[in-house]
Amino acid sequence: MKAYIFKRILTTIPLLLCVSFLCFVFINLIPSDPAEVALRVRQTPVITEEAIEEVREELRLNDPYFVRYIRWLGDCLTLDFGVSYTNPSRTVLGEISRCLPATVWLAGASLLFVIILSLPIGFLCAVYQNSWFDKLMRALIFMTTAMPAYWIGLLLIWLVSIQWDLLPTSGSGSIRHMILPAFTVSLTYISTYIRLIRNNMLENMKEDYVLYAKVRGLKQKNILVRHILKNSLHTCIVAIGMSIPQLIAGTIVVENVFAWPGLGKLCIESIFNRDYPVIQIYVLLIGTLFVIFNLLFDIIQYLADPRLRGER
Amino acid sequence: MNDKEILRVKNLVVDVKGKNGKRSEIIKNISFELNKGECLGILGESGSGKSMSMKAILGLLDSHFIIRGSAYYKNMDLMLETPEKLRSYRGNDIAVILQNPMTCFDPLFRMEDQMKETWQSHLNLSKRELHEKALSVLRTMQIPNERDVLRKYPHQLSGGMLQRITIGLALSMEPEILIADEPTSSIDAITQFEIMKEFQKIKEKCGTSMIFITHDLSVISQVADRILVMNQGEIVDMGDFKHITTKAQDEYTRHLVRSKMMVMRQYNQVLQKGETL
Repeated sequence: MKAYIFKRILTTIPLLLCVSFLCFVFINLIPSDPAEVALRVRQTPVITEEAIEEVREELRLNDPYFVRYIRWLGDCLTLDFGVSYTNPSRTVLGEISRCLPATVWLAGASLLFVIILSLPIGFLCAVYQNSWFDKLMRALIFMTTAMPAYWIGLLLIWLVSIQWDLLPTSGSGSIRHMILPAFTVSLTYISTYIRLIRNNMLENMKEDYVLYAKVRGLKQKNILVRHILKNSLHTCIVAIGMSIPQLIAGTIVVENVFAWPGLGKLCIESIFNRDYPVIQIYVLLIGTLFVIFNLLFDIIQYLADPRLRGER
Repeated sequence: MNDKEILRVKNLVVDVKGKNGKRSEIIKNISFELNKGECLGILGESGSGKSMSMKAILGLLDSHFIIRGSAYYKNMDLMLETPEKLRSYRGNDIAVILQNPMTCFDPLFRMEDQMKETWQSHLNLSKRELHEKALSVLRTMQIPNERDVLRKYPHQLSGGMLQRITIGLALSMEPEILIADEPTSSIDAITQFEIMKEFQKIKEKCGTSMIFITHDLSVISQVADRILVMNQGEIVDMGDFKHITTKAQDEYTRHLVRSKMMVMRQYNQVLQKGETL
């Protein structure tokens, strides 16, 4: 078991290097000159060739590509992500740490919505397959999958905040502020997980071990929860592992709709301001989260499944 | 239902509802009885309705199927019983052994948990008693290292061992009826031989009434007192092994016997050739 975990962690290192390299290359492929952008952002009145060259030297942009990558990677490993172009008095690390908690809270609340809603609904849809409840839920799933998150967000603001005056339209500071954005983010995932749990349960119901449990006279509740649901959730573990970083990355649009002061809002602002260091670290952070959560949930799945553990 | 009988199935019909609302009959008005201590063999090819009939009797078919007729067990019509009552009979009064032991158990639970939950569904035993019962079942089935086996997951045990556990588990409840649904068809020849010896032992020592479902004539000949041949949802012949092999009236039964005899002849020829080499 330890060997497997050690091997998986080792394979993660080249993957993380690839992510960082791609992140560095893509940001540097953007046609505008970072030195010129830095000068514009610093509101230099006249941008001359000499000034550009000076900033190039200052930002060490004249070094070979690979040297710059290695230096950037080394800085990243020591959490030195540089300074923001927009506001040189602020470090990128400071900006990210300022916005990260809000996004983590939002993603956490969304995940909670996903689990609380999709688990019982998916379960009931499978148990009462083709009933009116199942049909209604399937119709709702179809509709929510077809609607983009930002539009649902706007509709919810109009209905819940403006028409019913139940929750604030935007901003942060309390749980009441979090409900609408978290629900909006979670809606797509709720549909996916209801479908996943329902279909997995229906597939599992056809398995021999279910028939054998029935012929042994096991109670229906026991068969459904202890056996079928447990086996069905097994395949959901991997999906959840991928959904957590997706939720963090997916808040980007919703944060802007609800003016939620998180990473997504910071990223969009940085894109408009061409604040490359911030965008670069945002992309690197999300990429790294995908790799780490993939690793983490692979290990969880490995530990949870005796067949994968290869017990002899 | 007379005193000798333990199960009487009368005019059993199973219809399946198609997607277009059309019904098609898959079990066509079958009737038979199982006597106390008797082993009734049900012979037929795949899709002939053997297993479907048993599932109908035990209340294991879902709402896509419409079941008519009656199945009397101890003067109670199983078709009229509530799902909860039927559940209490299953595994307790009527035990079933299935075809594929490798897929019968939940892959995520240890053998001990799966054996225990069977008894927990019917009996009120303490944890210690459940553990002792599990050990004693494995000992009865002559499974070595029983303590280790209890801690194992299904994928860590062989098909033969798992099938012996299912047999032990079925017998542990001292059922009135034991239904074996193709118990040897997905295991290798040597294990098949061992499993059949277990069934012969059950017949001789326990005197449990048995329904033995199979498509294999040679397997059924080893245990069945009476054979019932099914084809396309109908009972086409009934009688002892000699009757089925020599005096069968139905063309399908005669065809089944002829093909089996031919295979056996070829098999014997190959064996003789092997001996002369």
